[in-house]
Order: sequence, then structure tokens, then C-alpha cells
Amino acid sequence: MNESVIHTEGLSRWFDKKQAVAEIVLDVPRGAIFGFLGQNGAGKTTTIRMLMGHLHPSGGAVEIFGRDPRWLSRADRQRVAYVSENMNLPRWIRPNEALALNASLYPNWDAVRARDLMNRFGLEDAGPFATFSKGQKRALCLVLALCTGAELLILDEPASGLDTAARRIFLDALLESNREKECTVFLSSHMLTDLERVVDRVAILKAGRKILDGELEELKDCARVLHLPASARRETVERHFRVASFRKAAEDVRATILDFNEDRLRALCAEDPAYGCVEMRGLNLEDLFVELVTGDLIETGGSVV
Amino acid sequence: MNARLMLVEIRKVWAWYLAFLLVTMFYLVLKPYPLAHNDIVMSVLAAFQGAMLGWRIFHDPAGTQSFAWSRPLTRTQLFMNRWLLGLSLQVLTLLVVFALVGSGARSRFHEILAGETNPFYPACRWFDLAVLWPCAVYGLLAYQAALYLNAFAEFNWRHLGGAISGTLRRTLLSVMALCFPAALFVLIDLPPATAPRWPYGVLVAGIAVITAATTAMAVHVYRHMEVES
Repeated sequence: MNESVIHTEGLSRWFDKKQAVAEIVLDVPRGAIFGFLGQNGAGKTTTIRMLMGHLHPSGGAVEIFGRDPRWLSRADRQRVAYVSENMNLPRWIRPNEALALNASLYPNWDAVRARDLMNRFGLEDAGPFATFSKGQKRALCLVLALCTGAELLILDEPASGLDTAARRIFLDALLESNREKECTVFLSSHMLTDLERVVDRVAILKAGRKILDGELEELKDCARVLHLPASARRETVERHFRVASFRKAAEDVRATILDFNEDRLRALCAEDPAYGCVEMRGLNLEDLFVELVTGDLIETGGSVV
Repeated sequence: MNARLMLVEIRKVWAWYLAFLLVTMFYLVLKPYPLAHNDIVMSVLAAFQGAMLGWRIFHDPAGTQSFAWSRPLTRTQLFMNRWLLGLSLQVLTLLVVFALVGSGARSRFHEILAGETNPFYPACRWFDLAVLWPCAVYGLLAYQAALYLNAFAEFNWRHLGGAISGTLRRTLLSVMALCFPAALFVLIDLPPATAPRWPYGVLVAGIAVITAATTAMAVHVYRHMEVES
């Protein structure tokens, strides 16, 4: 098994009486591109802030490279680059100043790549950060992270505000970092179509709890929407499959299941002949996400697959 | 110590710093009387400058806190980088004061202005250099008190849910920070005399202890505080 770059165990965080993150268990293997998904307010940013050591966990533990992120040494911090959801550079800073600062702080800073990305994002002649558009701000933050030569990129909503061309540049650069420099990437995003192109693994949060975690391809292989007869009962389907959502429509029932295989389907049909004419379809990441976050699956443990 | 980061951080403070420096220079040049170790105006100016530096260097404008805190520096290194920046600016003030007074520029200005009609003619620049003492001591003490109180406030009030607004909180704390050297001023220097009430060695040792203690406490707070991002 691959070494975990990020590991959390029962990670929880309370804000006053509200629990923002509840007992999250995560393992991000070295070299993975890990998609961290959830609706607004699901606890993604809070989790990422704890990964960065900016927030203290109320319970559980978090480790980056096997250490508590709050107490990482300078050398270990040079192995991590971060883009926060709120683009957070000082308003007066100019791109060249920001690049020079990072070059002085990261020993593996790639100045050639930085120049190239600045050109591709159209930032080479930009003024102070405060005069940037939202997309330009995001692009500069990404250049600052992608060229650090860090082994771990933690990106919170990295593509938010980027236009289609800039998103493409970002995703290409991300894949290049991952494939050529073996960089591990942990990113949260609502751009699920983009994510589906790049991620190896995903975890989905709902109301602070992890409801799903696994290899994307396996999840997609095993997830199906079953169109069942109107008389279908949830308990019957749950005896054979793990059900993420179970919706009754006018003429049929649609059940989203996470662990499809032919043998189980045959067993379901054998139990009640009414299930014999099941129709089914696969799901892409976006469909799967919507079914999961709007369904009623509760899962706090490890991988579903 | 990272010079690039200092250049970025100095932008938070340079306009205020230059304003204080200009006021200090005007005061030094224009005061028609000899300068002394217990010059109250210089003490107040230095204390305000120290408190301002402690406040502004250690405070990140809204939304930008995680920029510095996400760079590859430990929290202690980040603190020390900022602390040294504040100290460097205070040393720069001392150098400017030293140059202005020690070079004879101030004396020359008064000779031109009033000549022999000045009751204190000829202005003695080496005597006037005593003004370095309040400039150094009260600047440093106010700086130390402000940085500790601000770090403590960031830590404490954030956990208490921000009962008072940030500006009011920092104003109150900066006033408290100024009370600290003011109290010491009463203790050390208030009576007119040719030298402080206590031997210089004792005072320097006491100031060193206060500086070390407040720095250690502030570092502790920095290592444990939560950061916006």
C-alpha cells in the first residue's frame, strides 16, 4: 500500500455549538489526485484549514507527512503549497514581487515554469493584486502554488472564477505536476466535470460527515441507478445493495446503489420476480455526487469500495 | 530571516513609520531647549511609534492573514521575521536621531536661527544625544507591549467570538500598551535630574528581562493561535 501523505483519524471541529466537521477519516496516498467534494457548508474548507494547521481540531488527529501540520519544520513546509478559497495576497503586491518572494522561500521553485504559466494566464504585465479580476487573482495564486516544486498541493476551490481557457491551462499544469513531478494533489471543487478529468480518488462530505470515499473509477463502475417497479421496497433492495438514494416517482422507483454486481442483481430478481425487468444506467461523477448529497446515505467510516 | 518577506511586510507600515519619523525629526530640530534623558515628548513619540509598529506589523489586513502563514516558515520563524522587522525600524529611527543630533545638524540649525541670543548657546550636540535613551527605551517597551497584547487579543478574542470590534479592541490594547512604558517612565525618570533614578545597568537589565519575557509570551501565542484562511 502507498504511503499516506495526508492522514486524518476521527477529525472533528466544532464552532460554538455547531459541528462543522465530524469524525472524518482520510488517507491520501502519495502521488494521488484526491477530489474533496461536498455542498457549500459541508465542511471542506474547515477540513482543509485543519490540514494546513490554521485551525485546531476539536477532536481526532491530522497528519501531513506523518506530522501534526501545526508543528511542521520549515523543510516539511517547503513540501506543501496551498491555495485558499479566499484569494489572500496583500492588495498592494505585484506579481513579480510575489514570485520573487516564493522563489526565496521554496528551494525547488521553478522560475521557467512560472514565467511560462504567467504568460499563458496573461498575467505578465499585470499591476498590483488589488487591480486584478477575480480570475486573474485565482490564476496568480495557482502559479504561486504550482511552481513551488512542492510534493503536496492543497487547493481549495482552485478553479473558481477561472474562465474555460484558464481552467484548461490550470488542469494541464496540475496533471503535469502530478505526472512529471509526482506531486500529490488534494483539491476541493464544485467543478465536477473538470474534477472527473483529473482525480484518482474522491471523498464526499455531507453536513460535516464523510459519506463516501474511494477510487473514482471503481465508484463509477459500481454505482448504478436502478429503475425499479413502483411497488419496490427499500428494505428489499437494501438486503442486496448499498443504497445511496431511493426515490419514488409516478411510475417507477429509482434507487441509486453503490456496489452493483450482476450476482447481487440476480439475487434481487430471484427474491421477487417483479424486479425482473430492472433497467439501469451508470453515473458520472456529477450524477453520483448529486444522488449522494441529496439522498439519505449516512456513512462515517472508511472506503465504500 | 527572509529579506523578501520583510520587504513585503514593510508595506503594511512604511507610510505610518515615515510619518512618525518626520514628526520626530521636526521635533528634534525645532525644540529650542537642550534634549535630555527624560524628554517627555520624545518618550511619548517613541512610545507611539513602538506601539504603532507592534500593532501594524503583527496585524494582517482582513483576508490576507493566511498569505504569510501559508509560506514555508514555521510560526516561530514568521514571528521572528516580523519582530526583527519592527526592531530594525526602531534602530533606523535611532540612527536618524543620532545622525541629526550627533552630526551637529540640529546645533547648526539653532545657531543659524537664534545665534548667541539663544540662552542655551552654544548647543552641545553630545549632551543632546541623551535623547537617544528615551527614544530607544520607550520605543522598545511600547513595541514589546503592543505586539504581545495584539497577539494575545488575536488569540483570545477570536476564541471568544469577537465580542468587541477589531478596531476598538486594538485601540484599547494599544492604549494599554502605551500605559506600560508610561508607568515605567514614572518609575524611572519623572523627577528632573541629570540621570535616571536607577543606575543605567539596572535599567538595561530590567528592560532586557521585559523584552525577553514579552517576546517569549508572544511567540507562545503565535505558535498556538488559529489563522484565518
